[in-house]
Amino acid sequence: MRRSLRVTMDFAAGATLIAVALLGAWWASDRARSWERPRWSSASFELLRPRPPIDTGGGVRWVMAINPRCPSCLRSLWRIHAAWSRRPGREGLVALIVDTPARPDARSLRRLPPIAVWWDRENRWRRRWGHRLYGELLQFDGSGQYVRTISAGEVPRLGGSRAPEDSTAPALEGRGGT
Amino acid sequence: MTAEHSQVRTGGLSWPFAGAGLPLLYLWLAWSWWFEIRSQVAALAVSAPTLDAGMLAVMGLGARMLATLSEAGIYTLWWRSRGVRLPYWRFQCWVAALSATDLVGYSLRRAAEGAPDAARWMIAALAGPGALEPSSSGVPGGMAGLGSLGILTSTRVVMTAWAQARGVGRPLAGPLFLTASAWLVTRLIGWWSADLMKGLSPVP
Repeated sequence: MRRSLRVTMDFAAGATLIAVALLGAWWASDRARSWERPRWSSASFELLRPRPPIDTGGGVRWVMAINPRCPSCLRSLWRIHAAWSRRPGREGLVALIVDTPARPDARSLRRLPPIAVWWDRENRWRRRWGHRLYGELLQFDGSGQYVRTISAGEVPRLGGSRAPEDSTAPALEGRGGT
Repeated sequence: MTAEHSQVRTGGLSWPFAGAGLPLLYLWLAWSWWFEIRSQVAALAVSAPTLDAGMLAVMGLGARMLATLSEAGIYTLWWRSRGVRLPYWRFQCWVAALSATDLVGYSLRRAAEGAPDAARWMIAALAGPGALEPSSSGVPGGMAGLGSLGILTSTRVVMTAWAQARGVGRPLAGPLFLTASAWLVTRLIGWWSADLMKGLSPVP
């Protein structure tokens, strides 16, 4: 019995170490990858629903990455949309549908608040920009340049404009725009 | 009893508390962990108000208890496979009691927010470099994995190894290597998994 237990424990320890080594190799490969700096361009995405005419804010966009199959993302978007009208400046809030290979149908759009909705057809958000968490908000200035990324939880703390260096996202080191 | 069983040796690990102290210890630990998990969930609920902090704290406490039982079980099985018996319930009691160092670490790291620099560095030495990172900012994966590495965590690792050494009647070096390796492996998994999950997105 002890012998079989020893073999089992040795096997489990070996398998764990191999799995951790593989995870480490995956992590190192992912960290070494060069990601593009996000940039907002109308040509990069497909507009599914235009923005309401009340949106102003000098072309500044806050883009929230959502997946229509993620109920908590949709709840978060509705909550942020409700709070958005109380923010000064009325910068545009935009929903960007990501991780959705098929064009979202009208039923999916009806579940979203009345804001501009774009579809990331090529999944740039994940494949080129390296972003992975739904519900984050990416800020772009009027010319489409990336400013910063914040999590949905930081929206209540949003005041006026902040510098790009204040972004909570990891820095993109010397990587050019798209 | 088989000849194999007769070869099993036992050591001399005592309970961390005697008599009525044990149920009181478990009650205090359960309450403290429930309170800690509830505080953490409540902080998350700022960004997700639909979370039921009380219910999630109960689930978190259950997961914590399972983790403690499993941790003690894995070490017990490991030593059993090496022909020595580690008294499971006594060792499990030590593992549970030593989790109090984690509770102190959480409290200290919270206290570090807004504290003067000198105090934050002192807290970082005790509770790990996570004390130097404001909780409102995105937490890098490395900090998620190793942010608790300080004197308190080191003490917990050494004391867990000491309890095993006492239990199996062996020198400290072997149990310490085993425990430190297990801790490091779980922390690396946490670090790399957090990085892979979030990519360049900020962690809430």
